[in-house]
Amino acid sequence: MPPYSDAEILLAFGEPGQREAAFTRLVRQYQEKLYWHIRRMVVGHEDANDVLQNVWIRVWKGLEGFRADSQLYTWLYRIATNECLSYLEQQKRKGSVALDSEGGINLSDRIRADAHFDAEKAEWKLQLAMQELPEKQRLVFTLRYYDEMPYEEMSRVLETSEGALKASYHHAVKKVEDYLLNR
Amino acid sequence: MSVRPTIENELQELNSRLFAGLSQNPYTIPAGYFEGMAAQVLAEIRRRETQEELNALSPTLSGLSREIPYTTPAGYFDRSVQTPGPAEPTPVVSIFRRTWMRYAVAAALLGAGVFIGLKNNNETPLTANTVLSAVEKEIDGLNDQEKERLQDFVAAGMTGQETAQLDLSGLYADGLLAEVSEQELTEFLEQTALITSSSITD
Repeated sequence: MPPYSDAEILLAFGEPGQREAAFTRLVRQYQEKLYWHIRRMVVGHEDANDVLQNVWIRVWKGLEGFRADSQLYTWLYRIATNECLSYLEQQKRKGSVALDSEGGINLSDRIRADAHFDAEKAEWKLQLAMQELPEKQRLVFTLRYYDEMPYEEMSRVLETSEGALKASYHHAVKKVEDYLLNR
Repeated sequence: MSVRPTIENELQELNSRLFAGLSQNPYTIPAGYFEGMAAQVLAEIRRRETQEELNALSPTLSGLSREIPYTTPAGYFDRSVQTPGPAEPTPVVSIFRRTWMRYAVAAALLGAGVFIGLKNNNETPLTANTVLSAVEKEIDGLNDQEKERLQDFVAAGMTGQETAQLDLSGLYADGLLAEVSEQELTEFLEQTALITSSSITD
């Protein structure tokens, strides 16, 4: 199936008879990117699935009112990011996640509990290293390192200046590298 | 277009030994996970919309479990489907060949005939009293067993309070008839004039 432009999807979504078909296209087009963005933040598949479902429901409710002054892709990432942060905050309140010394969430235990976890593999070590970052910095790192998002767009997703994001990414890279080399 | 070289260059600029190629995900997902996502999401949206609607309409009902209390024989849905035999043409039956329909039509015609007969043959205007007299006469003609059956029938179904207990205000104000115009109601009453516009008045 050829990819549809955001404009085509939005136009079709406005037509009552094509609403569900347009939404299906939208989900298919962005589901993997959003899933992995969420998964890297919440770690477990079931958690990621729950968060992603909530994201799509928000999108369904808000798409009609979406104004094309930002890209659809940016808007989707913003919803996904907010849902991730809300979910992690809920987990923190329930006491169902481990917290670091500064009260931030650390999901290292969940990573180690993954059936395919291999402490010798660099990819897994990198996931553990990311848990050492504060949440916002972890977001900046994943959006840049994994999703290759330009700072300009990231600035819209996280509502932070490009300069602050660059500095944040710089710090994140250094911390991650330090973890990989010294632990 | 991949931005990967940009990320690689940026890491070099940061004097990082972090390798951009590590960006591969170590996590796994269930096979076929993304294939059914759109359908699942739409089903979930419909479920939530239905629930929200019910919450608004009846909080009591929305709090009840939707689990069906019935049971089916063990393995009922696992039974293999038997190959059907050669298809037989489905008989097409006119609704007028159905016995109950014929009886209903006959009863309606008979009732109308008696009513018209009464109305046309009586020299005096048809009043509730004349109708009652006619009914009493019919009842007198019944034997004891038939009278007993009639009494049982009436006693079983009627308490005498039914009409008084009916509150029709909602039906007219905001119920089923709210969208029916005055003219449509009048036409309906004219069509049923045999019953409603007779001179049965006290």
